[in-house]
Amino acid sequence: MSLPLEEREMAVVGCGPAGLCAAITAAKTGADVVVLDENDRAGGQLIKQIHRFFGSRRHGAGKRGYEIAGELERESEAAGVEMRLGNTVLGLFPGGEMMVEDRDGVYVLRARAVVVATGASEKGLAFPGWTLPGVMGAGAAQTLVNLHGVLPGRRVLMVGAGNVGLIVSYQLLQAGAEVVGILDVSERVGGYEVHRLRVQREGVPFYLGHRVVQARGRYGVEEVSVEEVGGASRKVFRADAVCLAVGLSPLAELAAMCGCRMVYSRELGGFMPWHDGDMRTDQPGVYVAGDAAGVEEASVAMEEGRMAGLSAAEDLGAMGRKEAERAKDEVRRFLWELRGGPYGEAKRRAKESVHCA
Amino acid sequence: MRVSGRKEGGETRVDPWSQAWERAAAGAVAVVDCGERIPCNPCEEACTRGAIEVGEDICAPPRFDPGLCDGCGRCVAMCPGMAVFLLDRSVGNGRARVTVPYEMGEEMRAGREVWAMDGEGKPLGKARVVGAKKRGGRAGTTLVTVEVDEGWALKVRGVRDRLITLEAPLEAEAEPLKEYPLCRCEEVSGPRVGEVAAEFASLRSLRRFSRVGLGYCQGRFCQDMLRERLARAREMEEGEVGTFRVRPPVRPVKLGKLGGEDA
Amino acid sequence: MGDKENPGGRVGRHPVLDKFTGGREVVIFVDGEPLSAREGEPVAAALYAAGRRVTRYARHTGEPRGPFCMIGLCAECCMTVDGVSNVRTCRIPVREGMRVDTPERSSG
Repeated sequence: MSLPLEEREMAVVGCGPAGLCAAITAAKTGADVVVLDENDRAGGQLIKQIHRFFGSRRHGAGKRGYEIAGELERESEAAGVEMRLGNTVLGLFPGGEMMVEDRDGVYVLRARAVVVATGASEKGLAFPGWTLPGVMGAGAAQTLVNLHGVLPGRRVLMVGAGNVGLIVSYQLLQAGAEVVGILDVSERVGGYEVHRLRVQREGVPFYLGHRVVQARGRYGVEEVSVEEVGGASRKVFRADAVCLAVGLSPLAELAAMCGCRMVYSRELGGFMPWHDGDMRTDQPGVYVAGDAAGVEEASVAMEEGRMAGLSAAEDLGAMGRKEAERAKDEVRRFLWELRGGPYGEAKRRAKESVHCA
Repeated sequence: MRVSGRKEGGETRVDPWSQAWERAAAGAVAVVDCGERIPCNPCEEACTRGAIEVGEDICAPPRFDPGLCDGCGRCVAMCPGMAVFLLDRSVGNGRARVTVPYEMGEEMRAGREVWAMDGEGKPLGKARVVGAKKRGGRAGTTLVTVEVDEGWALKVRGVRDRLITLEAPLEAEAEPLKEYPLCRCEEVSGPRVGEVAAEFASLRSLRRFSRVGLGYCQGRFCQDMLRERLARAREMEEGEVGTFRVRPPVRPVKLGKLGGEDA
Repeated sequence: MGDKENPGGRVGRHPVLDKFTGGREVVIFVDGEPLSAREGEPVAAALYAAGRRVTRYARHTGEPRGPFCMIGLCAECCMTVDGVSNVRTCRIPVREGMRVDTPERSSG
């Protein structure tokens, strides 16, 4: 038997900052846009971010992540975007055909333009005991604590001193957990100085140049031993949770599946679909934006989403070339600004090498 | 181990606390303790008097003019890095007031005795809260003002209702390591993958041989580690090792549902 | 089974978020035993809140496993829910009277 088929002008997969901005931008040009997301709430990972965001006013800076999610959701409703939550895209095929699962079954949706804005997934870090309950991604801990009000543990060891590790550590403290230490194999803190300072201010010790040796426990983590890189001495922490904040990888499986050429960038987290500066992939009608196009900040994801939305609207004929170029110039300017500073410049160079790959 | 401040490009920035010292004799003034080039400008937006300037380059560290600041504290509540404070030495008698942004669980209110903490989370001593107000509604940030000995004023970075002593880790001898899976789903041994890695030129061939990445998560959590090990063993670039081939469905689905059977 | 410990529990006072009242308190049955949970929260979160971190046992080694990603990507939290096997408990909301069982090792 055949599955029900629906034809639409444009479909966006993923309802995070990139997907919502792509949808809003395209819908404002008059395009018919549907957004699909497997979750029941819009906003992607923004909904579990309770810290104030960096960036400028255009990116909701100074507001908390979940507040930005709410604003984007209202904006997309106002723009006439059809939001289909609880709809999981299982496959994407050449020609813009998608296999989608909803509560009742599976259907096929064909769109002339598809934006893949599926975000990222947390990287693993294998050591003896990493499979014990209580060892989890820092994002998983954040989901538990900020969305569901459940602590991953009372005594948490954070592995990774990048922004995610620092921010989640602070949020665990806010919820009443102890962070027994933040450990990083590197000798320096990778995250922003202001994030480091506010965690340090709460008395959380840093163990730089250290790595996890193993976690032990019967039904879950009870203790974790760590060692200084190249050193002989070991330390053992009593801990009931270990959070891994060792980086994110672009999650662009749908793009890979439909034939997009994948390129590698260590700086941007791994393999991502090749794309140009306008967020077009090498497959006609397929665009990519946000962390799925290389892991960066949420503000960058929003601008990339806008860019993908403009390119799609242009290709669909909803927007003239000249008009699209003018709007894109503005987005380019914001992207350039956001990719300034020592952190941003490394991303900008990596992004340029992806465009040229 | 604790880390010390980072200097950028050999440039030493003006200590914002000392900069505010003179002006603070006349009343509350902001201390903008932010010197890193990150894309951020809410402090500039928050200030109604033009005392904080970031400018066109959103990554530029804020420039602050203490002469224009009236100590309103809006920037303290807005800064995403919680890096703006207020210093007020107008109380005299060798006392000073420091205002810090506060987002921890314990309620702060005027009259309460708390601990004043330094930038490393070490207690400086007890201090009385002379003001605590939440700015920006339910999800706002509380501005907590404490009165302290003037000698501490440059060191206070936080407040705490009670002291928590973290249990220090125990020093220990090396212990025997347990076996562990690198691929969680298919339970493929990490050490074993290391042993055989040199024999495979791509992730895909290693997968066919060992079942790594063939399980429920489709290699999402082991793929990067496998790629690194393979690249190291073969002296290849990580990009050359490639990816697993992705096949639909990318999320688990009951076969009946795929076949169009009623859910 | 000795897999009921007391790791995190529920968040009490929180400076930013409103109280996590969630849905009403209901009872679900985990391996036959009643457990109080909040309607609508993911089953994995309810188990964690009750101090139960183990969701399944590894097929070959029999080692305990628990929620790892909490967003439906890893499947470490798969359990049998109302008789349906391999359900990701981080993605399925609590309903009153739900039956949640630790999967048989052979069924993987």
